[in-house]
Amino acid sequence: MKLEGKNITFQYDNGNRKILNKFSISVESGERVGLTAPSGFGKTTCCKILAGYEKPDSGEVLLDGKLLSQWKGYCPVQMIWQHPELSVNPRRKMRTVLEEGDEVDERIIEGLGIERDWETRYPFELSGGELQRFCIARALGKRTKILLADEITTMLDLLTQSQIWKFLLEEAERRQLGLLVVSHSEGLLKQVCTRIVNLEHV
Amino acid sequence: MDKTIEKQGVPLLEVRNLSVSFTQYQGLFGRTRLEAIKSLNVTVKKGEITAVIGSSGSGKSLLAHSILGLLPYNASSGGEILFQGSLLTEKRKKDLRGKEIVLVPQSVSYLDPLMKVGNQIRNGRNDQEWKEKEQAVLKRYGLGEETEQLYPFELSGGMARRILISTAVMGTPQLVIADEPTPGLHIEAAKRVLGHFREIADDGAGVLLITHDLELALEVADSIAVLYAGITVEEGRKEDFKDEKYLRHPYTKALYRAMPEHGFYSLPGNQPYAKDKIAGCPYRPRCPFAAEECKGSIQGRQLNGGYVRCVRAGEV
Amino acid sequence: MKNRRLTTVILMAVALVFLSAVTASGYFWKEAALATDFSRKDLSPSIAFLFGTDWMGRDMFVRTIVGLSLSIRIGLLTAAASAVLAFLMGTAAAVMGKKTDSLICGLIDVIMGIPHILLLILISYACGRGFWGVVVGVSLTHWTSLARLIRGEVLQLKESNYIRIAERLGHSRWYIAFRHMAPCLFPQFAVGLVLLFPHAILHEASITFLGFGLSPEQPAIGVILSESMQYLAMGKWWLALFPGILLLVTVLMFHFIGQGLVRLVNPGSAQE
Repeated sequence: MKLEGKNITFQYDNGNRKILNKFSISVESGERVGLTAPSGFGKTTCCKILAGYEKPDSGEVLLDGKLLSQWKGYCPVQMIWQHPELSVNPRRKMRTVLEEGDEVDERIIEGLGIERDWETRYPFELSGGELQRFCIARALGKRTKILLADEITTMLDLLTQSQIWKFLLEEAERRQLGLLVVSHSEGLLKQVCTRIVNLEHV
Repeated sequence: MDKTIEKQGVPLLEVRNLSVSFTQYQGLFGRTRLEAIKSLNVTVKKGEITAVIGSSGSGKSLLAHSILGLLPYNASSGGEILFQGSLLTEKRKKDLRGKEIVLVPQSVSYLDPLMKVGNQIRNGRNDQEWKEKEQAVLKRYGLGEETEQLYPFELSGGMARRILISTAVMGTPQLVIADEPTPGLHIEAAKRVLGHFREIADDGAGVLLITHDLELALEVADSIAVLYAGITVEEGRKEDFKDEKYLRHPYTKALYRAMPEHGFYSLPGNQPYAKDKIAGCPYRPRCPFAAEECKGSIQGRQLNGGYVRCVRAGEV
Repeated sequence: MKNRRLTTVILMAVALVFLSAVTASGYFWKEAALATDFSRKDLSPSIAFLFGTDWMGRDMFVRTIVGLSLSIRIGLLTAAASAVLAFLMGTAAAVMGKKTDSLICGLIDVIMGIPHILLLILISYACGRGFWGVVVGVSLTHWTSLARLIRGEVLQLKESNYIRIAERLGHSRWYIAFRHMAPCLFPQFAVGLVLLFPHAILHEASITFLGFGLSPEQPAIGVILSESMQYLAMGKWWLALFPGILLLVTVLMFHFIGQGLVRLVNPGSAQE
């Protein structure tokens, strides 16, 4: 599958500064694209547009040549957010996060080091790293083809970061997922990506 | 500045075997005590930055709250905290908070959204002296004069961070505690913010920098304390992190090797919970060097000019 | 440290038992409350007649309990009705688009703008007074602040990351409403509901007292109080004092239950 953003322009209602100006990017199955830029350059906004959370002011987002907004039901493009604690319902047990995904494979739950015991807890009883594992598992449902990772390990410690990426790389390879990796850490991007795009230079 | 405590060798802040536990309900009426911090040791010297490194759940934010006397109502603590050589009691914490000891909070939401930032920096004091002081501080952090007329929602992430620092340094504090001061900032912006802490330290104050990001901490800190599951496992100088062989604790070594530049190695397992109540070294279940003696109680000791809490450190 | 949670729950249990006892016994004493016996009229409180008797020789204790029982039942009915109304209105305002929203918000403002008791009397009067007049009147005037609260909550939930993620995962509106929103709204709703009781009861009693509510034949607290007014000047203090105190106690009991719920549900105080 191929996800394309074409000539995307975006600005927030209140600001006069354009966050994105005629920006184009593409991610294909099997490739891992790194995206880097200084803060305020709209990396998160870019992910949100490509995942269908926001509509661009102009330009279009295509998945296999068809407008992303025309895909109904489960969206094959899934995004993982930077702050896992905002991405799960604080009043529901963690088990429901996994159920919410698209038939998440046992292999994924194990591979991410999610312990059975965590599933019966509420989000406030888990650490950020543990919550993020659940969010990643949820985004890796059966029908997911393209994964957008927005600074997903920035708030985590180094060991958790390497643990999570080791698994994600294996999983992407096995399922030939397309990955868009947003990070400020060049070292990380060099380790995990097949090519790197700098928002500042486009 | 009090001259009597300028004695050689007395650190600005010394945290000794600090423990914090919470009483929580289990079920509807049952109660349990949860030891969130087991034994923390941290030292901050005048003119230096000590970084406290730990993943979430290691107890690093609680450390800041303990020093400031801001623990929640269901917490109780043990061990001792010394400030300028004498015991920091709850009353003294209250007296010094906001004056000698200040906090640079994690989030911009600590600013009052309805008050202009100039007023917040001066903490409501409107006389000429404070106004001049405020202007000087703003200028120092590269913020224009007009900044004082803005409301918090008009600030960008980096600006807001500098406002928080400005607010903290207005009263020339002795100790600045920064709790995750750079979340979500790009590396360049984060380095600039950390540079401000370096200046504060160079001017003579001590800085306690609390963060999960070892790479960033290494940019500015003089010494590093590594926390794991509520215990200080190692305290060393920044230079020790130049090579794995200078590091003392297996956990610190694992952190070093997990950096993308140093191989991006990973390690299975997770940090244990306070309620798991692991006896001996909490890192034992994940440690490749774990031995029988790791199950007993582990004493902290000095090693190669630093502090370590591992019975096998030095031999492996 | 004292086990605050245990004390709170015990207090709530006591309040609950008291209220159910009053409600149940009032149901069985219906006939006794109306029984007149002129041989024992105007007795002041004694062991046999705890609250004394009135000018027709009716046992004031029985009358008070039956009156309170009626009040509590009306309170339950009206609080439930206005809470459901609040829930529907609040949710509708939040999810059915701008026009519905401004319409409902306008309605809330209008209702809150008119003095409660005035609107209540008007509605009750229009519905022909009596039991249903009171129920409709109190229900229609008490839903506004809870509706506003729920509207705000739903608006905020709609924008939350986890709900937007659920949308992208292809889940239906129903799934999101029941699985995601309902658990978040429930605590607010339950507390709002319980705290509506005291209001409903007090307002029922006051319009009945003023003569716009329940009919004089019914042994309602409002009726008892308004009748006793004529006898107060004659030194028959017990006719108003005991029913008044018991009404106050009932209202306070509901209030305690509500406050207890707030304390248990609110994470800021749940560990106290």
